[in-house]
Amino acid sequence: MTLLPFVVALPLATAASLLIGGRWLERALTVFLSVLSAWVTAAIAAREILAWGGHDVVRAVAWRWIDIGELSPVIAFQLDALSALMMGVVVLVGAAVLTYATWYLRDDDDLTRFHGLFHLFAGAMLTLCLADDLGVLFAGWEGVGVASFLLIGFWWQTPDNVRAGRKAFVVTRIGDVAMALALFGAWTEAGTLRIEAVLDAAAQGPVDVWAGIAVLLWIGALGKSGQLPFQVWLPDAMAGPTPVSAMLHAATMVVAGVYLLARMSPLLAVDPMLGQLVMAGGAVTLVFAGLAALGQTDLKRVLAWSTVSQIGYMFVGLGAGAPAAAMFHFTTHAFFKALLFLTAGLVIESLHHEQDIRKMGGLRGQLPFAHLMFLVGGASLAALPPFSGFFSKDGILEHALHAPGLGPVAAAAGVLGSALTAAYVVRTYQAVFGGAPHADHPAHDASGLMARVPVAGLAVLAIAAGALPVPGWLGVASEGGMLHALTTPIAAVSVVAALIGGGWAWRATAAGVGSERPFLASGLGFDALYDTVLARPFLGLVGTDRQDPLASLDRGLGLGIDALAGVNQRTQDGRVRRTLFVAVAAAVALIAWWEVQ
Amino acid sequence: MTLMILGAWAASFAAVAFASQRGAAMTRASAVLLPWATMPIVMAAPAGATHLAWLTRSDLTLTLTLDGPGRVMALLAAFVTSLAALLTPAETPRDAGRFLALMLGGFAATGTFLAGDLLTFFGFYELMLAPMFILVSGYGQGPGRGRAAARMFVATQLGGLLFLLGAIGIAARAQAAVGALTFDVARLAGHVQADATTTTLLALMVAGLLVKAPVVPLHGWLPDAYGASPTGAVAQFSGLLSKTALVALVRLVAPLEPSTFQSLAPVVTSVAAAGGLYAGLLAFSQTQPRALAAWVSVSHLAVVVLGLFAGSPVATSGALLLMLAHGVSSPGLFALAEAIEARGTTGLGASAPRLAGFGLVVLFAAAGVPGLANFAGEFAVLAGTWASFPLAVTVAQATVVVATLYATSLFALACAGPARDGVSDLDGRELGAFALVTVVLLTLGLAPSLATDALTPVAAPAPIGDAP
Repeated sequence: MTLLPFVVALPLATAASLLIGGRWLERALTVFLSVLSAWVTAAIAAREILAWGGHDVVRAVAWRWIDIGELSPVIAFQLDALSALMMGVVVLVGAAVLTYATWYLRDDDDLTRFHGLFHLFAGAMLTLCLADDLGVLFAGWEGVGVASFLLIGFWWQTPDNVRAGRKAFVVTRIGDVAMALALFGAWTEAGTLRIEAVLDAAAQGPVDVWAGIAVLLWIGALGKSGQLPFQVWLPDAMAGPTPVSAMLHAATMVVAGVYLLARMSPLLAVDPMLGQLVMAGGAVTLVFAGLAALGQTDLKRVLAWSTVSQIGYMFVGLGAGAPAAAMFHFTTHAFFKALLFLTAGLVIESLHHEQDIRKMGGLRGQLPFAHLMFLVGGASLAALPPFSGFFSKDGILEHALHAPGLGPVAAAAGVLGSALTAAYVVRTYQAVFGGAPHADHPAHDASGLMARVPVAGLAVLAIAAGALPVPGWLGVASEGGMLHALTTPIAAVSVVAALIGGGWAWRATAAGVGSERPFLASGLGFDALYDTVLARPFLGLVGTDRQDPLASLDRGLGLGIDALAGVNQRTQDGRVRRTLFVAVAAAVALIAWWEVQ
Repeated sequence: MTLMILGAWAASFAAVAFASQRGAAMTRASAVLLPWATMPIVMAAPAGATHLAWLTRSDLTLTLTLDGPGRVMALLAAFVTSLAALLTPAETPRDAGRFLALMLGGFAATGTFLAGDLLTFFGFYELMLAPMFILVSGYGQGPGRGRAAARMFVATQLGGLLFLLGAIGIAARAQAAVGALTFDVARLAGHVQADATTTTLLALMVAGLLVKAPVVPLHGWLPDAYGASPTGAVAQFSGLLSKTALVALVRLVAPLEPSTFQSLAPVVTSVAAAGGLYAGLLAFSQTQPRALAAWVSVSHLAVVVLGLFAGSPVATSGALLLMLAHGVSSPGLFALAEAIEARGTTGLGASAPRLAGFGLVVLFAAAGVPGLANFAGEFAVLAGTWASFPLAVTVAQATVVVATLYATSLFALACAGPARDGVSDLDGRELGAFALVTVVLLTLGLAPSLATDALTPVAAPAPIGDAP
């Protein structure tokens, strides 16, 4: 018997009980139950993966949902290689991050709400991963958006946090409009939203219609994954607690767009233009975000831009027709980026919530554990062998290089991105751990076992995940595995680029990171641009407490009736002869008109 | 049996009237509980038509017809009336009148959902105006309430008049074919000629009904009226009474001449989609929670109208489902607005966490989040409409972004910020109302088939006959 539905149900049930009944629970009990639930979920997921064993697709019907004629998405979960990988990463990173969060938020008054929302997110994310129907996937997709909104604004005493949450929610929902339209189109064409059946219909249906649907899905994916032109929400989302940034805005939720396109990858093949589009978007984003990361002074925002950039690589992989490579990079990225965020949390916490890297420095000696962890995460992010990021990034670059059309250009952008990545990693390292300790900000290492064990576990994964045969699992014959990557020319070129970029940054930041670069720091001015071009005109149009403009029409009607009434009133003046004359004349005119007719 | 539903309402009304002599609190208790007693009867009554002799010398009868949509909406009538009573203050003896008006509203609305002929519908429809007028002018808020009540009265009355004109025209022109002057929809159906005059007459009926929903630009009466209404009453107006006209479109107008009805679709769907966006933008503009809730109600009903005219069974069922959802989420939103206004904005997240929690559920429902009631209906409407009116669907789906804007802006306005002293969280009565709303929103969101199964027998074949 498959327990697959429980992988989704358990987090949701935990969320419901914590959010509703949490106020009556002891604090320690809340935390215990929450973490226990996360690990039990992970255990069930592991059992399911073992029971499935990589053979057939397991499908478990859980619930009859919307059922109106032909529109009948059933809440059913499927386990195939793709969803198994996704589920495994989500439950594993989720349990690790939640364990860490018990330390990170140990003094927070609203701990129960945090745990409840975190499980809500996990439930929605797992729905998204395991759905075999686009309608159900969309429900998970929107659910993670809601959870993201609530978790970014978790500290709602500060209105700016809530504003950041709104920004994330609204911007991603603009992308969701496109995604919803894609679903309507797919349903109209295929008569169902079952993913398998939709892909079958797409293989036979009219190319232009399905290409349009694919473009709409791609726009939805761009929104969720913070890719150009939707990238503006992700850096601001760092207003949430650091475990939230690690889980939602690095490891899992933002990668939902990549997962969606990987799941629907046959659709991208209906028209060769689609791959070019996806690849171009990814290539531009990865360079753009790499530049933006180079200008940040907030530790978490460096990592946020880095996430945007790395997801850009994944989109290049998708566009190059290599969803397996994209998902491999997703896997390693989930581990090393979660590691980097949690390490950043250790640093920030030890400096009493200081996030400005210009006020850090010399922490190498004071925080040796965090230092080591950052080195592992940073090396993996910079794709240096033998860390995991090297192997997964190589897969993408190689596929891009051999892809038709824009492929080589995208590969070149990827190499440039390698240099940028190494540069911002080294710059950050220098600012945080290098140099002399900051006199004003003594570090106080308060990290306990609950913090260190998950971080160390992620570090092991960040090193070793490169050995995972992820492409093989996803049905792509592994091209010689790890040794192969070590011998591809593009990987060597990428490493050389990284060394050059890193070396340049090492020299440039030897004396500190220097002053802020406003243009890069602002994400190349896009926030200001959108503010001028979109937000302000829109808000100006909508206004505040605007009265209904159309009400004046209605009022005009009222005035017209009043005026008519006035005219009518004036005829009632008691002058019999004139009244009679008008009446007779009118009667004659009416009869004459009648006769003419 | 169908008559027994109305009988149960009449008996409940009498019981509430009797209770009103024991004080307002007692009246409220009875008005909260008694509507639920009609539900078993609604569920048990067999589908079909009941004819009551009226003017025996002519062929006119009063017809009550119980069908899928009517049954589901009759359940909604009981639920919303009970909820509205729960949200209504009962402090002075005079407040007892509020509950009598609410019960009368519930009775009249149920009558419109059961009506099988155009005249019976019209009678109940007009009867509904009495409690509305009493509640706004007698118990409303603000100095403008008299004017607002009058404007609402006149606008709805004019709409009713247009409907009546159309109905008389249709009946008179079909008299020869049917063999008698009748307003019975079942007898008229199939005997109405599809020609330009019929188109005009149906357009009159549709326009008249859409005043009540209302659809922009026929909505002029609404902001003032909803602004001036007392809380419980506005819950019933938006949650229940607004649907009487929309349900009539499906049950009574479309079957008269389906292809002619469908020929109005291009105009109506365009106007509805644009109007929904317009109302959504105005909702976003408001900083008074209640004004916001009023515009949200208009914005969502536009999607219902879109679905009713889409010409696909999926969209029609979706529209009925969305009406149910709106019947719960809109009163919830007004209750939230009231709760926020009573406490003042900012900092409610920290100082009134229960309010914030329930408020989020209501706001997310309004923003069309899956798992809550509105999503399923909206999704079905838009999916079903896509094939015929993709542009209208695009506009309606873009309205979802606006919905996200207004939902989160109200949340930010009310809940963000440091805790304030002296703010109380939800009291027992408010908690009860929000819990009720939340349970139904979740049930309809997670298992919408519970409702649509009851709709399908009738909604699937109607309203489309031959393609126009």
